[in-house]
Amino acid sequence: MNKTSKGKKLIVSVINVIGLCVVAAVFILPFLWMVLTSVKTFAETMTYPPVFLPGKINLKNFANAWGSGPFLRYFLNSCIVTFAVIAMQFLITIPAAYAYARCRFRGKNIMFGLTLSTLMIPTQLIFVPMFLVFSKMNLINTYWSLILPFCASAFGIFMIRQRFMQIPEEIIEAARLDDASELKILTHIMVPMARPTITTMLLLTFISRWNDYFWPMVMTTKDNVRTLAVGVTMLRETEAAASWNTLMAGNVILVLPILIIFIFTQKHIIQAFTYNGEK
Amino acid sequence: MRKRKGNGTYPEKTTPGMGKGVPYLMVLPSVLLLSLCYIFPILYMLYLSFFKWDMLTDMEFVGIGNYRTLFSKTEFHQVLSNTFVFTFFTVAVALCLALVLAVWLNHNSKIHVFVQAAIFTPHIIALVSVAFVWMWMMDPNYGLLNYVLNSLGLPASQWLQSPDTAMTSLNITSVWKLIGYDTLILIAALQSIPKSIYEAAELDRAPKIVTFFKIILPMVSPSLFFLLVMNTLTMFQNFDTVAVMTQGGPLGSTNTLVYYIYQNAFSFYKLGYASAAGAVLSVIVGIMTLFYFRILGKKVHYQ
Amino acid sequence: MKKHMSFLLILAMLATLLAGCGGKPQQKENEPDTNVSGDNGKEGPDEEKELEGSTNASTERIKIDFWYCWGDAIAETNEGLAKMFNESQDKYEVVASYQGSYVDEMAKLQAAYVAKEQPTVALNETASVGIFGKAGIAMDLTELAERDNFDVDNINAGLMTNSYVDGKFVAVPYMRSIPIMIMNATVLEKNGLDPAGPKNWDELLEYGKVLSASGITPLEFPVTNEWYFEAFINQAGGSLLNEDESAVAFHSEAGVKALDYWRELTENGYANILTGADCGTIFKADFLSQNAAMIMTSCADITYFIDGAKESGFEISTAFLPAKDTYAIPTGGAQLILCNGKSQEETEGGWEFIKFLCSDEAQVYMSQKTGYVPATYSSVESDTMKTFYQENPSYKVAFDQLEYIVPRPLTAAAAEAYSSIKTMLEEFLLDTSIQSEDILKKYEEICNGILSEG
Repeated sequence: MNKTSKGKKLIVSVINVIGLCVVAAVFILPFLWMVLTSVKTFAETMTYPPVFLPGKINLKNFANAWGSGPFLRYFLNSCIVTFAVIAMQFLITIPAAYAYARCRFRGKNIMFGLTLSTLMIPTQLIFVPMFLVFSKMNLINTYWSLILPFCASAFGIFMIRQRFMQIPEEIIEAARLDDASELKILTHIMVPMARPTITTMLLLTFISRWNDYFWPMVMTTKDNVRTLAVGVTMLRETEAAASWNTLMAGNVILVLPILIIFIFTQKHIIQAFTYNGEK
Repeated sequence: MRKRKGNGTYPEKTTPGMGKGVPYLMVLPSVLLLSLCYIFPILYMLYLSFFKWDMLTDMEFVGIGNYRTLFSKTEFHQVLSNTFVFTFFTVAVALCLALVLAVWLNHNSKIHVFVQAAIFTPHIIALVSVAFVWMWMMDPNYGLLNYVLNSLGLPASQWLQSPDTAMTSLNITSVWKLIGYDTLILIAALQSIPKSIYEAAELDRAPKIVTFFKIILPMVSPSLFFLLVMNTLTMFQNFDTVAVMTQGGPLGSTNTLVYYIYQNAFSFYKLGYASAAGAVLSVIVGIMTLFYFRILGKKVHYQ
Repeated sequence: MKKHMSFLLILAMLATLLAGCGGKPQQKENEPDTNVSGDNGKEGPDEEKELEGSTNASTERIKIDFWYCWGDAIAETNEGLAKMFNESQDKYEVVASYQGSYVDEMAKLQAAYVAKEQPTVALNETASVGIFGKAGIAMDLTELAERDNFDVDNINAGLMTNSYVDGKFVAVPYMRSIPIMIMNATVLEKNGLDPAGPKNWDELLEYGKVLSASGITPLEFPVTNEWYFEAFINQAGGSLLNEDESAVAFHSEAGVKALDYWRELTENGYANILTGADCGTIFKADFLSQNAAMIMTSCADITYFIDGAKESGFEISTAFLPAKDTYAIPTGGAQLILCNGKSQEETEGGWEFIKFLCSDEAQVYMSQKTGYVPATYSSVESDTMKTFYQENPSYKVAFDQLEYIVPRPLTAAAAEAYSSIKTMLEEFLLDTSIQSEDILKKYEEICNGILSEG
């Protein structure tokens, strides 16, 4: 009796592990395929059945890709824009979330509703008016045109507000009895308690800004403020034939930095998501 | 700053501990920025939808003419139905799979954490990159997917090349991208369920399936609801995959609303017409959100 | 304590960023601030410029913004030519910048013009010249050309048909592409076929018969747009649109002939006419992996196929698209415009740059690097080009074809009608039960609706 149930358990756990591996493969293989393609020669991509391992590692694709534009500049611009947006979001969304969560004031619902309604607006619909506005403000071809529209994240305000609302009133009352100022309550109690949520929001911001192609493409006309995503997409935008190996090399250049960051920080990222009970 | 009044006796419209103006100061930057960068452009778009305009020559007022043309076009009906089909299937499949995966992966052992990280990876990658990788894998002659299908003895697919399978191909790509985020949020919800509840169910010898529907599902319903709203909003506004993978084709089978708007505005120079389509998009998304919060929102079980 | 530190750190970071973002980034000191001069230009175009001219000209170069589309070899060519121009003189400095695909660039140029952020010189998709000319974005070059004795007759007459809008000379053909046949000469010879390729529709059927019997797809081409249909219908003596672009003309005997011929090719397995989003990539892969013996493609791909074929170990040859009643070649690619609303000096500089791009040296460089056809007669006659054509006869075919080209329509409505024509072709190819006559009639109505709206 005992033995068979043990055997059964083993079989179940083996099946479980195999299943897990299959799931992991579904998500990892496409990346592996991308990397493999990026070091193949053109002829090797054009065979059926596909060749899995290239004859020799062909780094020419990367040299082609990297040499096609001021990539170091793009990279720096990506960093500047991404971190500026993160910093601005930190300063703008947290007080706003606090106010919506904990304060009473006239027009609160209207303003909160307005904030949330911006979630429904895709950037493809608004870039023309924004281009005109920014050019009136002389901001075209400056980092500002890439930063300003993303400084106040409706999603971030919403999520952080939810978290702030879960913090028990007693804690705040206690702090108030100790004569702590509101600013102190915010920075010493609320922010630390909501840290996982805030980290998650900022991470999501990082991901979306780093990866965004459309906005920097339409808002800039010069290389000096363009970001990496634009530079990489440029490789694919060719009227003549595109070859998969060069395309994938460009893809790898874009994906690699964020993938490396993810591999080293995945524990924290996953934890930020899973251990704070986002609701 | 006004001095704080005694506890519990503050008047309705103010908050203890701060002057009347302070909350406004706190929300002001966000409200200003969002109004400038989102609300104003949308109102401007609404205004434009009553004109015929190519941006360069003079505007011509046409009243509701653009809307009339819009709804009379079979092409637009197809675009609308494509958008709904795409959104519905992507969100439905992603949420169901994410729920299954979340229950399955809700452990802290090394392999489980590894798989969690693996399925989350697509979420951090640019959608255009994802689209390109899948496009390459879906190549009907040299792609990996048909090779896998053939090796498993299954017939090859035309994937993006045929109007019958193109939409499904887009669904697959989008689900793949979306599911990691959904799963992690659901795992988070599962982990916040108190252990005692599971233990009680175990003591009752309730079958696993009953536990799932009677306990797990209600407990994660707020997260599920949140994901439903967020996924619907993002998928309804999908642009990148269509722009990269299909350009709306073949035979208009994958043309969705945002891509259609972009195409009309900038390939066909019909800004007024595109704005009218944009207004329709905004209204639909607004109604959907309202519906979610009014109808479904009430059924969600809050702890 | 730790928390304070991290908070302070973020604040400090923010402060530096704000300081960094305050000005226009990356304006190096030795470069004049183009934005300032651009803004002044808005208010009083003429007086301002003269003032600036006197201060600027002696010390600093005048910056000329030049926008182009597409990356890769095309980007390299444009950047390379800008550099050559900058080295050839010391008055102007052309700043070439990439703007995405044709559609991306068109959208941005419209917005930029309204916002007065337009470049001096822009490279646009040929058909968009119509709207840019009508709207006054593209400058009338007639006066400049007359003043400088710019030899308009040196530019290929066929290509020049797309340079005039309302009688004004608004665009200069530059990176124009046309379709050609590229063939796997090795395979053709092995099957006893002349590697010079089929000359007409009947010969193409013969080639199809022989090649399909040997198990290779004889011909492939993609329906990514209306291009090839335009070629076939014109070869059969018809056209897609009527003369003034007010109605379609494809519902005709020639239209039926063209579609029926396509059906004949596909039903017998003589051709694989591809549809779908990445069909434009697939047929190229099929050709290079020797699954298809002949393809129709843009001449901008010649370099790519020569290199690719070398890697795959076969020879290629090129030919005209086969004729029916006549040869007929549609055109695509891009043209240069000079934007209105720039300062006198910038305009002069832009015009100098355009003239430079029309020089033999630039045309030869552009054509050899990309495969686009040289737009001027003299460049083809130049020694470098002659030697080049002798060594690479594949390139010459494209140029010889220019004699038979069909002008592109220039109205915005035509662009939308053309996209409907593409849908028509997809429908016809995917559903073999559809008769050519019926579908042409159906889409005649749809397209005429679009054209009358516009």
